[in-house]
Amino acid sequence: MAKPVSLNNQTKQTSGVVRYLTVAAVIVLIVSAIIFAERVAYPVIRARQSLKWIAVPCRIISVDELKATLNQISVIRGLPVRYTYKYNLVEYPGMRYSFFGTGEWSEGAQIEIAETLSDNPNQTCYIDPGDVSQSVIDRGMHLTVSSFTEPLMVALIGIAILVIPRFLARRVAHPQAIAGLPVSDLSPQQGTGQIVLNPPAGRIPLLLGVMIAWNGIVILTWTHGIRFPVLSELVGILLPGGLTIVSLIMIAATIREIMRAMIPVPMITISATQVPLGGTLELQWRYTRQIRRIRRMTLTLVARESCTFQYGKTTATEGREFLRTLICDSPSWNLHVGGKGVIKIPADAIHSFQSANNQVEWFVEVQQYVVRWPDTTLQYPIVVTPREFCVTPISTETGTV
Amino acid sequence: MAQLKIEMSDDRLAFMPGQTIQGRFVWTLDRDVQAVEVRLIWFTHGKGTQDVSIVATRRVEKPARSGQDAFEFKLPVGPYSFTGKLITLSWALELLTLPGDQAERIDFILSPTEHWVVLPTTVAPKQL
Repeated sequence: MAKPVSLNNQTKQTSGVVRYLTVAAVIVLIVSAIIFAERVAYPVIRARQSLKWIAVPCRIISVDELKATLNQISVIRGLPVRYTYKYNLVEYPGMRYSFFGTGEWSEGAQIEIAETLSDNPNQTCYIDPGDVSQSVIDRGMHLTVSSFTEPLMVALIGIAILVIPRFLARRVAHPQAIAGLPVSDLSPQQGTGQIVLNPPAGRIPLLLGVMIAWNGIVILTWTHGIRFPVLSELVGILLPGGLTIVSLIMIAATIREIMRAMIPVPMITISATQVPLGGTLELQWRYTRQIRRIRRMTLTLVARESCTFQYGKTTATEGREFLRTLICDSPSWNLHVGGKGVIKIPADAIHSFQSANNQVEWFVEVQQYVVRWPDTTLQYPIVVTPREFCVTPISTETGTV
Repeated sequence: MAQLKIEMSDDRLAFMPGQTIQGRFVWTLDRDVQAVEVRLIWFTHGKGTQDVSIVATRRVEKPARSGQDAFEFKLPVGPYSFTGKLITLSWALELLTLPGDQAERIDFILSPTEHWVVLPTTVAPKQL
């Protein structure tokens, strides 16, 4: 006896772009966590641990480095002060005034500390009984609002990258994403009249937003000279370097997308919102901008099956075209501002179909070849319905097993 | 072990959209159940995660340990039964007990030709 197919109804749907942005968002959130760990968690833990440290006399040697940082916008862990102290007759060097960085001290406070240490070179420092080479002069908590704002700001950017594309994807989800479900939408030949098809929304706003947000983080990283003492020095150098490489790739991708957007695209008008299998659809195209740079343009009817599936812990999407019929091929010498064509839908094909993880899509594909410019391929979805039959629509439940 | 059986009235396993599918369902149960239900469903299989749609149902509440009942469903316009490289969509009648995880299923074809719609495996290359 077989297991029933229809007992478990759950729906999952993911889009490729959203998946990549989720990865980017996770990276940004990890960066925010590292900044938080480095600016707040690590100093606080060290300061709390140092309450058990031993007080010993120390002698200030130099505060020159501390004075030097006053003219920089850098965040260096601990105010840099050179001093020495003795423990069990052994002399140790010390270089840390506090566990908190210059960002947690005002310039006035830093000047005051530098003057105090210069005037009174004999101070008390605290040493770690477990590792006497570790010492600090001021073991107090020095948290400020900015300690939290920077990691919070980066985390907010990460959350924005995570949430906004999902919200937009839900809003721009194909307005004509018809077919298979629900069956009531399958009624053949609904609506007639001139319909203007719109190409899929461009990715420029999304790319631009992500690029600006990402570069904001990278600029912040470089200008503030953030270092990561919880990581090794090598990682501390490689991480900002890696972020910068990603920045450059994002800038290049955005420029390429803007270049694509500058190429004129035809406005496509069809004679009906839906066409049944075996039916015909009249199609018109018209350019509203200069087409001198376009060397060739083709219009093709394309049908594609695609599905999403689980691959390990990730969701993958695969598609395959099963029909490609040329409607029009215009080389530059014959490329006009507009034209007409007829689309004949094969009677023995399959209609548009969409369920949670599987779909059959039909669209008119416009390909343009422009000299010294990226080629463009635009897809204008159309709805192909089953052949005409007189039936009463039936309500359905759908789900994923 | 429960015994579930679907009997089609005319032994057909292929239908055109809009036609009526009818028959009877027979059950013999080894315990009391809340209901016995026959469902008209379509489901996908292939490379993608499976999707299922329950199009219509005929339910018998608090059934006797054994019994039978008739069903009659008018088939919708689609989706057609089709098979491609990635997706295959099948129609079926499914008989199951509620609650329970046992079922009897009969697959059939729904299409205007009463044959599977087979998606071509090759297409013309891109022009550019």
